[in-house]
Amino acid sequence: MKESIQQVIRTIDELDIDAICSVVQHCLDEGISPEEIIESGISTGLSIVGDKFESGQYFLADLVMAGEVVREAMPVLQEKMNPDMTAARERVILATVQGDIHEIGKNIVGLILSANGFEVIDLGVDVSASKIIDTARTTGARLIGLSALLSTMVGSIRDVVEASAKAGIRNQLKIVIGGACTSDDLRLEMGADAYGETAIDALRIFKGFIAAT
Amino acid sequence: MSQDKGIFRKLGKPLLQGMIPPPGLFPEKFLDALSGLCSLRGKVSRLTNVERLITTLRHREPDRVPCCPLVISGSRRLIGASFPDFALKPETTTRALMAAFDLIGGEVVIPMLDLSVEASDFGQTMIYPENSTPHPDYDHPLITDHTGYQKLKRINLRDARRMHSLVEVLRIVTRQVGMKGVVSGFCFGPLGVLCMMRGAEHLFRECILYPTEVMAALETITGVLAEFIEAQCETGVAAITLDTLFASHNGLSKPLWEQMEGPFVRELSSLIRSKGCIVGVHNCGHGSYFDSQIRFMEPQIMSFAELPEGCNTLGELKKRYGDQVVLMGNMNTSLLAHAGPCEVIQDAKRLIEALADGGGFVLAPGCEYPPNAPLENAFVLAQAAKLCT
Ligand code: B12
Repeated sequence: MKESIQQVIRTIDELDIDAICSVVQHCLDEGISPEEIIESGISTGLSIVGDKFESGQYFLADLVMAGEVVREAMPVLQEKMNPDMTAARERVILATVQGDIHEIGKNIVGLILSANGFEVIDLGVDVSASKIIDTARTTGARLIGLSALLSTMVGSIRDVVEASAKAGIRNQLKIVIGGACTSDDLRLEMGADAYGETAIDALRIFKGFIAAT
Repeated sequence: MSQDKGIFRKLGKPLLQGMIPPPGLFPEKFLDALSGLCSLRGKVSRLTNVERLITTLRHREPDRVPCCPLVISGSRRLIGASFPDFALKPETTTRALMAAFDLIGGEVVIPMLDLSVEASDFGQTMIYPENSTPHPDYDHPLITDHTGYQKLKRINLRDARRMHSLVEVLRIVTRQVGMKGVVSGFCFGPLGVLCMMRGAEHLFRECILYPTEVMAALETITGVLAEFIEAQCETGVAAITLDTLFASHNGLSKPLWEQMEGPFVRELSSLIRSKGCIVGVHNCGHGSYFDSQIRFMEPQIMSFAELPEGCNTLGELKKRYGDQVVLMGNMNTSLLAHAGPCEVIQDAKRLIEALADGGGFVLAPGCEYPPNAPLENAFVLAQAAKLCT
């Protein structure tokens, strides 16, 4: 791997918000494409930070800070992105389900997806099923990611599934669930399409859905 | 001599009113002797709720473990009240909490409303959903950028409607519970309060990037919380629980927490102790920093949902911290929401086996009993404390 890409990974891992733009610029100056910087540099950096969080070496504040470092670099990259690429970006709707206000996990998923070229429509927290389905209809987004941390609000996932069926668009959509209180059993119970344990899983699942179509 | 008289008056007045005097006012030797006696008596007969707790708090084995079902806004269901009514009408809150205490049982009651009480009095716009716990309107945070921290204005407790409501609730609940149990007040730590006015992610980022600004707000908040705590102590509660959620892997790194929130909660916990009340700490985060929290707040009780940093099993936790603090928790709240009664009993058994040896354990959920879950498992939990010893 090129040294400048490794530098991107290190900068994210070290949460160095002041250095990231110049490090990314350096890659661009070397002729590395924004797509490659994102794939090999940023995503890898974020997954290292994610792993360190899972293993207790990093803290939630660090995870949020890594997100911030990436957000800082995005305008530099977007400026150089191929317009065809950006136009063709797949849309994903993200929301924390109705009755639940935990947003950090969802935002991390959003960040990983947008760093990997998805167009994220973030509807925020405590979002009703009708708002999610209306957004899917008006934007044409086919992918939906639902985050749920309160066990007692998981019924809201079923509400989204049912609302999409009622709107007649259930089979056009892929509904993915995640968040601390979800599981694959819950996915089955609620009638969603996939369950992801981490933000990296979310990326893998959504990419899989696109590849399959 | 006159000092002794003062103490007797402080102890006598609540006793005459049928309430527990501030435990810190009793001489240590007296509490030791009393708990020793209770522990002995507990081997042959049933203790009262308060005796059981005193014994537990002195790290001696009672007749069985005490329990705190932590049914807070879930209690509204017992009286058919809505979430907004539970949160906003002290009379309803009191009725709901007392219904939970009388029907479900347990020895410890922690009346609280929700985690936004303090923030909403500072002026944070709130949302009171019909079917869920109240929360800040995250689209309209009170503090909108890092310059907002230093502009946060101190408020007067007299004008603080929600904090006032909680004090009112505590006043009535302590009287109604009387000698049947122990009531603890509750206060979200200053960093938690700030999180409700800024949003967790921004706050975390700004703790790292603008620590001085953030600390200015924490100081303002701590001043108000000190008044809030004093008012709570005056209601006759025996303890106050401080919630320092962000002293965990779900918050700041340990050194950053010690720098940002540590000094402020040290001040608040000293205040609680100076009033003769017990300091409790609640933290439902992963990998909570027990060592730092114990160092800064010297709590007598730690309520927890997850294993603390540095402990891989409950056995390790008991060994490392069991003689420093009374452990309270840590039944999984998802289990309480979804499992059947037998699973709850089995889990209670597991916790009691690991943590109750030698006293110093209160059986409880790791965090508030899930507000919308059926209440059956709360009853089972309270019974399990009796069954599994
Ligand atoms: C931080 C926190 C809060 C903060 C939230 C700040 C915010 N703006 O988000 C505050 C203090 C406000 C809060 C409030 C409450 N909380 Co809270 N909170 C937590 C805590 C400590 C950490 C959650 C977190 O951010 N984790 C870090 C992120 C990164 O992890 P994550 O969300 O799981 O996300 C990862 C994966 O799950 C996945 N993922 C997430 N979403 C998605 C989506 C998709 C599609 C995919 C594929 C993957 C995916 O990717 C992420 C990164 O890998 C947990 C305890 C814990 N130990 O988890 C309790 C916890 C979630 N809270 C709980 C409760 C009960 C509450 C309150 C009701 C308390 C109260 N009485 O007021 C309120 C909620 C009110 C409401 N209506 O929602 C309970 C829920 C219990 C249950 N099972 O029902 C928990 C589990 C605590 C406990 N042990 O009991 N809380």
